[in-house]
Amino acid sequence: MLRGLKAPSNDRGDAATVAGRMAARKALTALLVQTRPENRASLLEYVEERAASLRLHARREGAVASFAPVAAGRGNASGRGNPSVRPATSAVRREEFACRYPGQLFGIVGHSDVLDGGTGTAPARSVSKVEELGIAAIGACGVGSYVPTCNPEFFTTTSSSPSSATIMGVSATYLAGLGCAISGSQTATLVNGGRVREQFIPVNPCPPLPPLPPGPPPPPVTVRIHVQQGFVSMAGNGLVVLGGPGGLTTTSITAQGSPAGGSVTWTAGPKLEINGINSANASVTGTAPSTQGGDTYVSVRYVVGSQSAESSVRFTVLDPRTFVAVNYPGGAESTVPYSYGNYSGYITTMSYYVDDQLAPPNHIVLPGMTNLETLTTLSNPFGASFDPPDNQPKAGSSDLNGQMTDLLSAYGPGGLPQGFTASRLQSWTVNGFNFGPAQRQNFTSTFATVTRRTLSRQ
Amino acid sequence: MFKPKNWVVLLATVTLGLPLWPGDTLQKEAWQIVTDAMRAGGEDAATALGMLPTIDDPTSRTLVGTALKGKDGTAIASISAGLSPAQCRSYLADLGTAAQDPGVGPKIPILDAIARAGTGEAAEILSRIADGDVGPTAGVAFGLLERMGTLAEPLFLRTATNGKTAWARETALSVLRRMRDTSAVVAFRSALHDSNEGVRTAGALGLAQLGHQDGRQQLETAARDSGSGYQMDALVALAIMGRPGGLDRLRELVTSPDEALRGRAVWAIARSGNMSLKEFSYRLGLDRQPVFRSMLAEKLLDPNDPKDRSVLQEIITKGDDTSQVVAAQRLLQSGVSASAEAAIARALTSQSDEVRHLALKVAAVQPALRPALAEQLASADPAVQIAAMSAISDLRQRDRFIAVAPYLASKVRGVSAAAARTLALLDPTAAEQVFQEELTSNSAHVRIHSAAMLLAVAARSK
Repeated sequence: MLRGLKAPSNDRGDAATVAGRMAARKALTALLVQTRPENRASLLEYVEERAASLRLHARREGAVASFAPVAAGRGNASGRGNPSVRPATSAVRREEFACRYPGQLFGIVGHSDVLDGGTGTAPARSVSKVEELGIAAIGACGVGSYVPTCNPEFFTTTSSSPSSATIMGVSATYLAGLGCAISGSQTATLVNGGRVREQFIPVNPCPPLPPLPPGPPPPPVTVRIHVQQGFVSMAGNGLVVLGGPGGLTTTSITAQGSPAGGSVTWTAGPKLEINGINSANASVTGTAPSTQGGDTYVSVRYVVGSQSAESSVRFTVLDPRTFVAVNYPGGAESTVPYSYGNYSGYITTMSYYVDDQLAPPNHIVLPGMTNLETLTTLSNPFGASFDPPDNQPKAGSSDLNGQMTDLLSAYGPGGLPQGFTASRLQSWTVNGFNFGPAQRQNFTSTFATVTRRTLSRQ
Repeated sequence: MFKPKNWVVLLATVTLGLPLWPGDTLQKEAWQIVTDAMRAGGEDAATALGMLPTIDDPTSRTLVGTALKGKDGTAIASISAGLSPAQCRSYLADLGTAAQDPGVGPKIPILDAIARAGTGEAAEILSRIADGDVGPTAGVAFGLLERMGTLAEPLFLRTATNGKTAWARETALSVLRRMRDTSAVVAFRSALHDSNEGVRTAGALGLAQLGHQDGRQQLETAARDSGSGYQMDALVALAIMGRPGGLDRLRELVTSPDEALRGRAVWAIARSGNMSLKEFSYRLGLDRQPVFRSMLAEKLLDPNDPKDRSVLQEIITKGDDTSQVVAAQRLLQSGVSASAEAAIARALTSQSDEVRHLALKVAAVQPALRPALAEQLASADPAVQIAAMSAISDLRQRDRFIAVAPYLASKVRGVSAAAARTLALLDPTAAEQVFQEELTSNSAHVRIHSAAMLLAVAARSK
């Protein structure tokens, strides 16, 4: 099976490729043990191909100074890096492969050739000694990505002096979305201005052609935008609301891409800003009110390998303008009795909505908009107890229906006598904006009322 | 915003006119209006959901049942507000589950619907909620239980003794005291040994009210605590027990320059219901002071006592508006009707919101006052308008159909809904015509009310 790697074309090639062959053999041996039977034929073809390639490299090794550096590869074809020659320094290489199907095995073999001697003038360069180092990593593909199994194996072949080389801190690491990365630094002690040639040879058991018969075709790249639950209008537009300090101002957006492991780039239309532009989980903030529903958008581009997909959602930026008591003025219909220890009284529930800037205005149906009420008592001849006490701001927020509830309670020891009256002045801050004017709450023995149906943003 | 939920699938089925509703085009249009509003969210959704129980057909029952079993608290609250007492009983288990689910809110309309069921089972649910928390929800549950009256007394007795929190035990004891429940003596006595000060004081006051002195020491402690909500009640109880200087202390309080203090002292005296303190009040001339007179009339004066009755009669003719209503209410309870009914009828047109609503409260439970109430349809007060339509319905005043019809287009949703219900009850056939015309109203809530009642009438005719 490994006959191809044992058949050098000439002596120079033999010397130049010894480490590569060893590394490749070791990796391929492991691969063959793990490779599914149906893939083995393809693998053998590949081994033959690699052997020829290595021989070619060996023939060229004296004249490769102008070769391009090894680039991080992706996929079968580009992953097979070309050799290069460069000065001896530390070296970091990364090989990446896209998985064709879950369970696919892959291997990466790297070797460095330390070339001794020669004049450095290509192509009339001679090589007398070689030191060769190799690294192999074996992994297996998961569903749409590598599984995090990177098993580096190190081996070196050292030639005779005066050349020497060491590999330091070499590791093979699984990088989410990228695959296995072989990295490390190497130092070489060279003689006569020699150079280090580094080559990382990918060994992939899955040839590009013909297509693999088993397994499903690779899934298409798709992406969908999910807008935070409760922040989508009936028309399907995403919603974001403007707010002041302490107000709700962001809407979460999530890009769900398939297959996993791709990169995300968000784009915001006018009146919007995005926080986390390259994160699958981002948020959007309004910078100006919409003039009509769905007059702006967010879009996302999702890239996996050489494929990409895009998606977009229309958005409306809502601006709270009025605060409306829908059960104005309150009263008996909105009131239930309340008992607390020796105290007895009632709670009148006032229900409010925030209306937007559009024509005609609509209730802003969003959860989590904030409100803050502050009260001062104007008249309380009976000395009843109120909640909240004077000048102690009380916070609340909108429910899933965008409704804000204010509980007006009054109670006294043993109840409130008929004829009981009291009044309080109430100031509102809604989603961080002041709304006014301050309104009066009137309390009777059996219920409370408010004096304004609508408050406006100040 | 009523986001996609399991019951919205049912809405889609309704809208598509699938077998759930085999009706004609008009009915499909009506369902379309109702279900569109439910999907739209906000106020219109609340209106549509509130009207849904009125439509007594399988589709509506399925929607109501599914929504009540769901997690959308706003939808549950809206539907709960529209349930009749019989429907509250029918859906009691679901309402109970929703009321006790921490993930479902707001709770108050759900608790109110449970109370409207008016059964022992409903009281049991409220009792569990009252004993399970210390927030507004528990306070409202206690308040509703208290309103249920004698049905809830055994539950208050249980909570007074075995309540999980001191707050619950104290509140239950206080309610039992207000109910003047003589069977609570054991619970009151047991409370004297409670580790919580408030519970002990509530028990001591309960005993004092029933004429027992076991808790006197505890009352002395409470009387010294100016920060206690019980101080005034304790001072009154000790004065009744004959504590030396007790009445002098009360005299100081009711003549205090502090208006709030005066009011709370007289209110505590009035609530005691004690005969000796009634004489004390007369001696101090409290019945001559308008504010105090009203308190005494409400709690202390006995309409069956000739002297008290004459005072109440005098209040009706010479008192301020509030006092007149309070006195009339007491006299009506003792069977004195003519002058009292006249006073209430007058008060229904009062310029004072407080007086008008007090009168409304009295008139709502006095059958003799229903005709007078029905005459107030033209009131500027929406609450009075709604009560008037309720009276017109109760009295089956079919000749008022034309008078009621314009209120269907009222800008006040509650008035419009009441008008829709009244019209459907008075003359279903004529009402169908009115509803059909209003399906194209410019006002969303008028369309919803008309559509819902059109469906309700059709369902009843089947």
